[in-house]
Amino acid sequence: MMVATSGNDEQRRRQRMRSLAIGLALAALVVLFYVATIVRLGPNALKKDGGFTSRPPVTQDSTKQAPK
Amino acid sequence: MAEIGLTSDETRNPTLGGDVEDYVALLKPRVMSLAVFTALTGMVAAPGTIHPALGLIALLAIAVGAGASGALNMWWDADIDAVMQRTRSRPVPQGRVTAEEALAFGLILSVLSVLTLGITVSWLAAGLLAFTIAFYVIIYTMWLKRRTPQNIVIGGAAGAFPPMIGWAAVTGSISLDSTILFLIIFVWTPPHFWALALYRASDYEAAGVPMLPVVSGPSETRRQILLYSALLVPLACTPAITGLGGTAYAIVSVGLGIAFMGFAIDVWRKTEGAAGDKAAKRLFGFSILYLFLLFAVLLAEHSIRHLAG
Repeated sequence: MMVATSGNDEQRRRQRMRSLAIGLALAALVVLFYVATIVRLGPNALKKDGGFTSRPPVTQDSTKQAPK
Repeated sequence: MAEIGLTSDETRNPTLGGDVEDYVALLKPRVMSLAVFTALTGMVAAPGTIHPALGLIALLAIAVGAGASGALNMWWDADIDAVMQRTRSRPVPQGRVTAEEALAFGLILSVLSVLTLGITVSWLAAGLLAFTIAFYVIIYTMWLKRRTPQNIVIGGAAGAFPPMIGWAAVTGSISLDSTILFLIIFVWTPPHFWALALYRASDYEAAGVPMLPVVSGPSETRRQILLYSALLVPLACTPAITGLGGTAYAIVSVGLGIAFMGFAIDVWRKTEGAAGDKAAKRLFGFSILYLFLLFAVLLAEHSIRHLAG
């Protein structure tokens, strides 16, 4: 049996498909920028402080020199 | 099971909005694929390396940028697209997507592609991509296409930029070799499009597009095709001299060049009726293969060098 869909049904279907495509494109953009950030910043990007510290790390040598 | 069908009135009703495939059609996927392929060749042939993920992002941005300029072209040219047989089934003249939707789609993708390329890979490459989109839409589509028979000579530059953009994405610079890749496509464009225009002249005439066969006639077009071919063939061999191309490229570019000249001479000699059209169609078809093979050999040679080194 052939049933012609009403304009509203077709309009809704197309709207849904367009929304889905936009959603997927935006998700892909998020993934793309995430990947680019990891690649450009290297493993430091995954560290909690982003690889940057406000003071130099305390090393064995610096604690030994402190009493002087 | 019920089959769902649509009447032709409903598919052409602009209030329904376009389907996803209509928006894909706005991107001119075939033109897009040529841009991606030549950009990939530029990236692989460039001295230096790029992280594969960033390379992929650069290619995607170039593809989307090329597609965006296609959408903007369809927005501006909807009136002539509706007249020409080759383009009348496009989404805007068919009413499946409105001109305003095509404009918005093209603008959004243009901005997104340029910013993505700039932020993630290289601002020089992004600048070249922005210039390419602007050149194709403003200089070619809006200004030259309807005004001068030299439209595709100058406008062809837009299609020639992708390998240079790919090269810049890797090296962050423009060089003699990337300029040669640009020039090969730039000089290839006139004989390619004029061969098409020779057997589609009536279509262009009906749409009021001043292509060379419409303005200067088929004889002058055939002469110009021959001249540009004579310029293209040696130019396409220069990568073998500068070192960009290897032995395989030297052999292929000379062999294909001889064939290209043969087809161009055939077009120049066969001026009448069906034989003339057939010669033009053969040159048009061969010109696509010619460019594809030249870039494919460069791509293969440099891929092997990367793998070996």
